[in-house]
Amino acid sequence: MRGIGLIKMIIAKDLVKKYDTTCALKDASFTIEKGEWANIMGPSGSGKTTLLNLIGCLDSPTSGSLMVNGSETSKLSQKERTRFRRENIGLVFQQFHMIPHLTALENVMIAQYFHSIEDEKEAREALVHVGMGHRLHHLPSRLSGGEQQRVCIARALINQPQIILADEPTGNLDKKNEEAVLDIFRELHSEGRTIVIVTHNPEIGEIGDKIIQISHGEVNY
Amino acid sequence: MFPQLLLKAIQRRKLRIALAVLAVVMGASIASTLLTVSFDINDKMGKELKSYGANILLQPSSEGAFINESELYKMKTIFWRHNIMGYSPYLGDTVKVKDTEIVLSGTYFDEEIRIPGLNKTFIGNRKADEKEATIRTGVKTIAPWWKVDGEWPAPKETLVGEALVGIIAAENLGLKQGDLFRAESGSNNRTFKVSGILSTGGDEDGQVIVSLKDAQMLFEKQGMVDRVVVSALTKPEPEQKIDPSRLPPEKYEIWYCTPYISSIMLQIEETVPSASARPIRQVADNEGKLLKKFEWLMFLITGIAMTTASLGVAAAMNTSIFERKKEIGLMKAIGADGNQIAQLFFAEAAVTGMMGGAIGIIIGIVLARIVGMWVFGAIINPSLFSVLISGILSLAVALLGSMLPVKKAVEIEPSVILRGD
Repeated sequence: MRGIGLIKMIIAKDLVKKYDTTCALKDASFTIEKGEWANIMGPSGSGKTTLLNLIGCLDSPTSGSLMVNGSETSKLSQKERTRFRRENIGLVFQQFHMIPHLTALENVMIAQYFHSIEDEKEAREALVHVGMGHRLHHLPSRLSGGEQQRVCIARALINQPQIILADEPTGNLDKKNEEAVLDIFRELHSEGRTIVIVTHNPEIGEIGDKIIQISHGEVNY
Repeated sequence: MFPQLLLKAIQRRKLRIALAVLAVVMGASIASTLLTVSFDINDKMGKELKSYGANILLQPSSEGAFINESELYKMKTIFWRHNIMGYSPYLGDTVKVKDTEIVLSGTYFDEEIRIPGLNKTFIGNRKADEKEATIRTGVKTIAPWWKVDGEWPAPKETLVGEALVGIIAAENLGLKQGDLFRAESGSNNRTFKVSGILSTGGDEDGQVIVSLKDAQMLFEKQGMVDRVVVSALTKPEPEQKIDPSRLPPEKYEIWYCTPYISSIMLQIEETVPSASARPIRQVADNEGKLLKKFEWLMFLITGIAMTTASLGVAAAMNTSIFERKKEIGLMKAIGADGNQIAQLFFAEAAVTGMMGGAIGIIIGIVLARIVGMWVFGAIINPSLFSVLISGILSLAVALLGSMLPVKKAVEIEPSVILRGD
């Protein structure tokens, strides 16, 4: 058993996020258990990425409460959010986002460097784990989209975060690479990691334990 | 990881870095040139200014008396002896040449003077200053602007003396190089040969200048001189006039050990009792003021050059940070804090500063040499101090110029990476 339902990993209560006069998120309340795979789904511009930003401590809410892994993150300063993020959260992006002048291995090691100290052996193992052992010293420009995404997953996992947040992780991938990436997420899920994925893809929606539907900034949970 | 991150970021943005380095090179080369010149200038400029005349005049301490020539060497034994660049004693009077009254002055042209006291000076067991047991001094040293058409009088004792005749006097007396003339003073007379025609732009143009010894013989005043002009390297007097007699002992000590013209004059009077010193004010004052102004001008230009370089670095850094906004957002999203981002960009700025500084200093040294040769006719050597200061300034300029851009980088929100701005 993966421990679902034993501990609440994310508790959002009346979360509001406003950008100037636009309300991107209205009174969102939901919970995600430890080890759960939750998919945030909704049309474009509905506030999915805003919600992911808040859970990932990339941004802070205008009001409301957000407990992540036992900490109230809504009141943290930017410095504290950075510290919290690097200890608890691994991020995977739709556009992959790698540092262009660093190799695959260095792109993973840089996350170790920002967290604490680099361990090349561990970084190699993480890349081997996602099937990128043969592309360690390639620059991002020499990697396919699927390969870049796998490097990003290795980078997100390298510091052993409790929560993996992914923003449309298969959005830019072909079917074959999509499957390969989803297999990695399935494996992480089976290892007991909490996974939160923002997606349009109904197939991914079916894989998860929970769907948080969002529309015009309102969560239907 | 940090070195790789830094090195690869620099390699990838060679052109941007090159522009920032160029900004520092320009600032550093100007700073290095001016500082090198400025640190060497006091000496060079001081010597240069000496060519516009001596700055201390010695006259007999009592009216009708003379200064004892044999005491003059003692000026080179005072505390500031190395600042006494040279001196020239004069003995003059009116003589009759071809029935015309004219002033004849005797002086040193280029005399070797023994300094008896110095080779007896000991520091512990070591003989000090032995090299300075003799000095060469005279009008050739302290009045290098004297132009002689012909030859300088030869330093030899012959029946016929040699003389320089001022350009106006030569015209009045109808003398030219090689002519012989007789100078009469009372019952004495002596024959001289015109070795050259002198033009100084001063009183000497209307006089006859002979060796001091010849003048002393003619006027029967052996070992005596009626005035001495001294060229001394001095420091500008402080704004507030100092009365040494009112200073407390420790301040008096400091004043005495500072090469003010007043303290040097006092020291000369102490060692040459038959003389009383007074500054040839205009030259002495102007010399100090000019040096001070020149120094300020150097520092001002250096400041402007470095500020401009700093703005250049700031512009290059700003562009770089704007272009790397996503990269910075990504680094923050995957865990970099503000300090780590700042370290990275400041390190880039430091590399820029060091590269620019090194190139700029080398260019500056070359330029300083050119300026030295061109303006002072002398080689200006870089001092370790000017190199160090230029290096520190380059680094400081690069770091200061990066401060605002780095602050902007630190403030970039990691959410830019997801918002897709």
